[in-house]
Amino acid sequence: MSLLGDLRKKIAAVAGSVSEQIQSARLAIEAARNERRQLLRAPLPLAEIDERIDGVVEREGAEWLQKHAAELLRTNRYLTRALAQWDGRGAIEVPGTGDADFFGLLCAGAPAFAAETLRALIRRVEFTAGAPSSDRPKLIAAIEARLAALEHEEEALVDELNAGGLMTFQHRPEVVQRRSDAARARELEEQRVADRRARQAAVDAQMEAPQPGYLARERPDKTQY
Amino acid sequence: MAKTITPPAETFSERLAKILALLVGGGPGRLRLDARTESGIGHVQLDIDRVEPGWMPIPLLRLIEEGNDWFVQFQPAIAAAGGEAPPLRMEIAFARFKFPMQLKRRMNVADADAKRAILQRLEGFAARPTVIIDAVDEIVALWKLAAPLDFRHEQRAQIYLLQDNLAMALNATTAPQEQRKYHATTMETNHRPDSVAANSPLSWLPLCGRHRFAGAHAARPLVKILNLDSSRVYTADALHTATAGAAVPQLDGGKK
Repeated sequence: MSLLGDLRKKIAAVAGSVSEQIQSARLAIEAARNERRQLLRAPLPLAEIDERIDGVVEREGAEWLQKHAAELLRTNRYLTRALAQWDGRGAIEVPGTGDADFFGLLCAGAPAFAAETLRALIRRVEFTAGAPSSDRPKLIAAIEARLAALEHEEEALVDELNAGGLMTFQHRPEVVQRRSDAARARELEEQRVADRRARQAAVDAQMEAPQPGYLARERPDKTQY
Repeated sequence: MAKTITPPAETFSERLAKILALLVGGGPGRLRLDARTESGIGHVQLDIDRVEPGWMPIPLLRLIEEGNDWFVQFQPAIAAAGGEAPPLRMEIAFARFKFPMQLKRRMNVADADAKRAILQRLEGFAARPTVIIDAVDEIVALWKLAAPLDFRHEQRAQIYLLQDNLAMALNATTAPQEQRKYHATTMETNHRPDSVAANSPLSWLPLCGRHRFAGAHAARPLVKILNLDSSRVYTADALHTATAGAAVPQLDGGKK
């Protein structure tokens, strides 16, 4: 094999190895992001869900009452017409008995039953619980720190390879976007500072120009205090 | 032989920024500026969190740029930021010296001798001013206070006493008693920055200005900052002591 051919083969091998390294760094970044996403989305442990149920029932019941209690008494078609009026005429009709409101109705009317129903229902659903909510901030912070280190490492690796000049690699899209935004912001800031400097210099020049006429001599400009 | 390197002279903007920093002092504040231009009088409130060294605040820069003939003054009372009735505080003590104008070549010009006498008087004063501003018909000396005085409390009396003592020791211009009473009453009932009456002892002090006067082709600055030393900071007590030790000058405005 010719010397050039041999060299090409070696370069291709190095390029392949470097590409694999970058690819592996990016996979590690993606894995850390997935881990964070899963941690954020994972259901809470059953014990914690149980603790929340009473609060949810109370809140839903209060919201339902706030929305519909006035209707119950005001209209002649609804619940209290048949039950609370002296003549007791008419059929019972419950306001707001759509799917969402029906749960509210239960929470308002029979909170213990609603809570019990929820507890029973949650036990009939199969799910894999994640970490308790008290542990999550710490876990998320740890993943984010690892993610930041991985991102930084990958970015530095690409920068270093590109600086070598032998091969060119594209940065991740978010890095390209961030750098472009930063460059634009820097440019705008420089432009703003230059504009302000020029405007200020114009005012300074007007204010510091030698004063014409005899008035200037009358003023104690040279007074040393 | 070692070369003496002369530091570049401070620009007008840099000096203005220094004065604004002195006026605003320790905290965010709302400084009132009054701009007189050919087109009339306008009031501007500068909300200043921090004065950037060397930079005029943009609203002031715009004000100066937009006026052809203009004169900008400030009120030494700073309204603290926030709230509907922000408290007023004073970061500086001041003395103002009005001097006679002479008619020369059909124009009113400052009496240079009187002006020189005032500057000499300030030079002889035990507490040298932090800033001296030389305006068209007056000189204003400012003393930066180590701790701002608050108008809301008993310090208001201290402010007036300090101003009176400075005025008396240096033969500066002071406000008539009835004006002060009016001002104090207004302040009692209304703590807004607007309540600093225009003719009160805290009326407008010159900051900068330019005038295109008749018979000349160039604009003439109306205000000059003669002296500015931000390191000169005084407690109210130190100023009281300095005024107590000062010989009361003659009441002829220093004229021979």
